[in-house]
Amino acid sequence: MSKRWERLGVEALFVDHFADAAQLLHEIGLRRRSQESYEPIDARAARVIDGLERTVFEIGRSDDEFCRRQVALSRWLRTTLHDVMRATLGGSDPPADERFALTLWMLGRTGTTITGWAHSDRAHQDQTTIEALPISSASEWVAVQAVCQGVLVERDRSSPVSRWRYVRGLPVIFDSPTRLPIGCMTISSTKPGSESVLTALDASRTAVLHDGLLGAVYDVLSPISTLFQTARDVRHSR
Amino acid sequence: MSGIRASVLIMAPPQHGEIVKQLGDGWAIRWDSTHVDPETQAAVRRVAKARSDELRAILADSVREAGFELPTAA
Repeated sequence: MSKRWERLGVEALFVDHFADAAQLLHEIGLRRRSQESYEPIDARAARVIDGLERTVFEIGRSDDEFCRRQVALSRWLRTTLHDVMRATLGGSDPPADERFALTLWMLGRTGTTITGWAHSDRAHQDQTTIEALPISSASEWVAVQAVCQGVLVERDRSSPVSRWRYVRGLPVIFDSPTRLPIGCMTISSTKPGSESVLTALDASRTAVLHDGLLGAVYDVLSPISTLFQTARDVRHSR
Repeated sequence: MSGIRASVLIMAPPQHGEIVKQLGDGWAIRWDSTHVDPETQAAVRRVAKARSDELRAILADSVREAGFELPTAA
């Protein structure tokens, strides 16, 4: 196909995923604005993700430090999910017969994998047993699909080894100082989508729920991302 | 640069409306939350602010050890 375009004087560049189209356009604009100071996304993203791995998840630190942070983040996610959901429901508690989980996923430094680093329902205890999932549009994982598509993705799940029947993925993309997709947040329910309170909410209340959950993360992680994006001389930890 | 034009072609996006919205809004996902009553919106914002304050406190020392100071909340 590239050859056919070439004959017409057009150089065709193919992106891997739908989400890449938006990033490509952003990079073209950024390159034009930045001129010689332009830094490609792979370098920016690697530095930011390295910084977030160290400061948010304590990756590469001692086992004790990693485990303490895991417990703190798990509690934080659980309380955040409960409190934001309760506020969204007008002060009512979420249904007692439905359980939820919130997970924070982050891309690897090369952008080819994604890892669920923090979960509201559990805490990792061993960094070496955590599985990084390949980024592929054919992936069954909602988190991967959300990152590939760059938009909200929701799916019913049916697995004998998982209690989660419905999963919704929200891409996490920082806007400042440059656009940078860094991962995804997933909300899971023990009920199928057709029975979950998550799908019973009207569109605008759902938007408020997502705003609240993403906002709590963005307010802190986006400034950290900015610190690492603007500090080009920061050395990677490994 | 004259004589060069760049175009982006998107083939059969799975969620066409949202992709177009994403592009049209300057590459960011924006949610329309204007139809929820202001009291609920304000309550969710307060909760999110409180939760981000707690996350900031959890991460502050690690950010400092990396050589930075985490900006205080706006």
